[in-house]
Amino acid sequence: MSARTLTSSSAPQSSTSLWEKLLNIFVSPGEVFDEVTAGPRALANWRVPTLLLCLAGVISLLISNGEHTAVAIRQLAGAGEASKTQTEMLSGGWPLVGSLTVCFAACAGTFWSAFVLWLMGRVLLKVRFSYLKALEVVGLTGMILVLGTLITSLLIAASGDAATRPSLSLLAGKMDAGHPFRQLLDMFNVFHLWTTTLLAIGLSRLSGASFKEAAFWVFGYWLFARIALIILA
Amino acid sequence: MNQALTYLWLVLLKRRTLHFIRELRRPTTLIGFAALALCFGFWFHHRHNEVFAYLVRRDVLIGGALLMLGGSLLKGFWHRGLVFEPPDVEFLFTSPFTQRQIVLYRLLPGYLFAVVQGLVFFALFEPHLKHPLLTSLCLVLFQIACFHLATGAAIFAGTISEQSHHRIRWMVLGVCFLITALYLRAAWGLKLVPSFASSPFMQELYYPALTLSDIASAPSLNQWTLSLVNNSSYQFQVLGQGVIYLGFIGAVAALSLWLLFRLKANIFETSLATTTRAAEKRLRLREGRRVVEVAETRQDSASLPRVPFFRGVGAIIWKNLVVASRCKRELLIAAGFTLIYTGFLIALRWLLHHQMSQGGQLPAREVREFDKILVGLLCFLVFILQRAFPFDFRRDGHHLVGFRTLPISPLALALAELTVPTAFCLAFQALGVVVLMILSGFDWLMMLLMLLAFPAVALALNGVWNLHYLLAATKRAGGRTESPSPVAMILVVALSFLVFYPAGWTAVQVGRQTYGPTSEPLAIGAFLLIQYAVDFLLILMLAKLFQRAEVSRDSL
Repeated sequence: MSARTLTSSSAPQSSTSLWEKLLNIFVSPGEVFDEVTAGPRALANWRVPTLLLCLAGVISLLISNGEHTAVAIRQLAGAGEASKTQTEMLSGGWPLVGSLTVCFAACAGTFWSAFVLWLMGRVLLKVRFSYLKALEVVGLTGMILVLGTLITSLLIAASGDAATRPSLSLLAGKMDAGHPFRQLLDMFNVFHLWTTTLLAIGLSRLSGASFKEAAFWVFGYWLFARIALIILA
Repeated sequence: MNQALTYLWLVLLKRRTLHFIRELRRPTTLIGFAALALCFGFWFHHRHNEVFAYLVRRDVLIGGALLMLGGSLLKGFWHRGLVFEPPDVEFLFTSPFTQRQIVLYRLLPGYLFAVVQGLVFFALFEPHLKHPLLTSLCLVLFQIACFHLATGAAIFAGTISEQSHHRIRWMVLGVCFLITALYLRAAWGLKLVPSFASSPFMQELYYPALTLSDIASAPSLNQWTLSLVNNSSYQFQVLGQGVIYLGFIGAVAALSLWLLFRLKANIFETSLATTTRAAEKRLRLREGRRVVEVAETRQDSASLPRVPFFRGVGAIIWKNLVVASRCKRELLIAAGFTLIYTGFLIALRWLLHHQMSQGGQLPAREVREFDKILVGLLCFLVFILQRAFPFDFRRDGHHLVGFRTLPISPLALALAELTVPTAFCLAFQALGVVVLMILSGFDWLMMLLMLLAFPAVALALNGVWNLHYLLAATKRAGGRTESPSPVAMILVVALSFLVFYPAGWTAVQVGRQTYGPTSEPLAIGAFLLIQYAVDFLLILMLAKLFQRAEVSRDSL
């Protein structure tokens, strides 16, 4: 396999602090990724956003606790699986379980997505780059998810509907949340599209490939494969 | 269409047809063609069957059409440009033909294929179609459209860059998969993607494009939490046990790895020797020699035969007998297998005997039928035994060149090669019969049947397999050392069964046409007659092949 190997020969013109990076990712992600690609390894680049994401997830659960718990307990009580005592225990223990799940999902998801980006570069774009660099890119992209989580929670709190999302499903009215069409509309979530675009920019910077090529693979996996799964499942 | 190109195509078609007919002289081509013809004949004979009606149902036809379309698109797109024969390129591209004429010339074989396919479709499915002619014509035209699509895709793929081609190829493949999955789901109710793929947990695969609260409120998580609340003590006990087992086995694995790394022995020399042995074994297998190496022991020379039978071509039989006497391992394995197999038959017979002694009533005629089945099963033993006695062309394939210098006819040589394995098969079957006779009293008719039928079956099977061994040996003599292909092996196995079809079919027909007590002996007689005729033909074929091997060796 003739693979190109990227080297960090070109040093960054000026390095920004971590907090600047976390804020700049919203407005000029390309520059942030350029800096990450060219700079030395910085584990804080993915650890801090992931911690922030965990925090945002927990806050989101606390904000929308009432709606989520009610939906969950309604599902179980409706199916006749939980008695009154059990539902009380569940409503007490659910925030803890939910918070732990969110934290685990954030950490595992960061590693997984970095692996997918690294694999795309290695196999599809035939470029070798460090897995830790991919981890930094995914970690920084997680900042969009932090914002998305908070806004989603606020939307839920405002609408009183636990299924509300900042996506095309806002136009679906009272359609059942489990309906495939509603799920399809949910796919077109503003923050999902934003993060996917950022991942494409990140992959193009890491691999040196054009944005179009990186976007083809990233959108193919993060968007179209997902739509296909929803249609076929 | 240019007239010159039409003429060229017709001439080439004629030449290829004649070449194909000439190629039928090669056994493998002939067997392949015969298998195809037999298949078609079988389908045509049973064309009124319900299966054919099922195949022309609307959803099946839609599936077939999708398959044709997808296949054409993929095939064309993969090629990146039209594929021509090298002489065609030299002639066509330098001659004053327009691009349209060349494309049409390239499509002509496809059109012919579409017409033939339409005819086959009409022949097989005509009884189950309302408008067979119209449907067949539609199929022909649809197939032609598919060829156009493939050609268009190939031409388009040739005009784009390598990178775009790579990208679009994956896209096309993905879309084809999606359409297939949708079709299977809609028409057949088959879900290629399991339902858990739409679960909120699956969103984790697409992190960070997800909504975290969806994962936290997943129904399965709620159910898990509830089950944890309900059976917490039991769950923790099970979990604790699991952790202990896992930890213990993990520790054992880690400890064994640590001990392994502490070994000070030099691995390189031993590995080199083992690798060499393994490579040699692979080579021996590829060349059709024994996999198990014979120990280097001193073998005394066998004395020359005194019986006149073992002179002349009989010397080859003597040689194979000497080889067999030195292969005690093979003989012991075959004997062991025969005893195990016969033991199974004895157990069946003993069970019947036991049930009858317990008061079970069974007419004598049915007991006789049961014994016949046992004899049939014993006859099947030769299918396995034949592979256990490699005292034929399997070993002697390496000496084909030497054999041709001997003053013996090919027919005699073929017979001599078949004698020892056939005799051993029969001897071991006789051993089985003797053991079986402890419980079953076979009447004289059954004994006569065994005496005549077992040699016919053994000879037929040895004949078929020796055809294969001789062909492989001929290839090796020609310098081709590749191992036989799986298709060839399947063909040989299929032929091992098909070789009994003519005799079986004749026996059935005779049985149907005759009545009374003579019906069964007549049918058996017909079976034996035809089977021995087939055996004789097989031996003749072996002799002919041996002759041809000589010719090909001369021409090298």
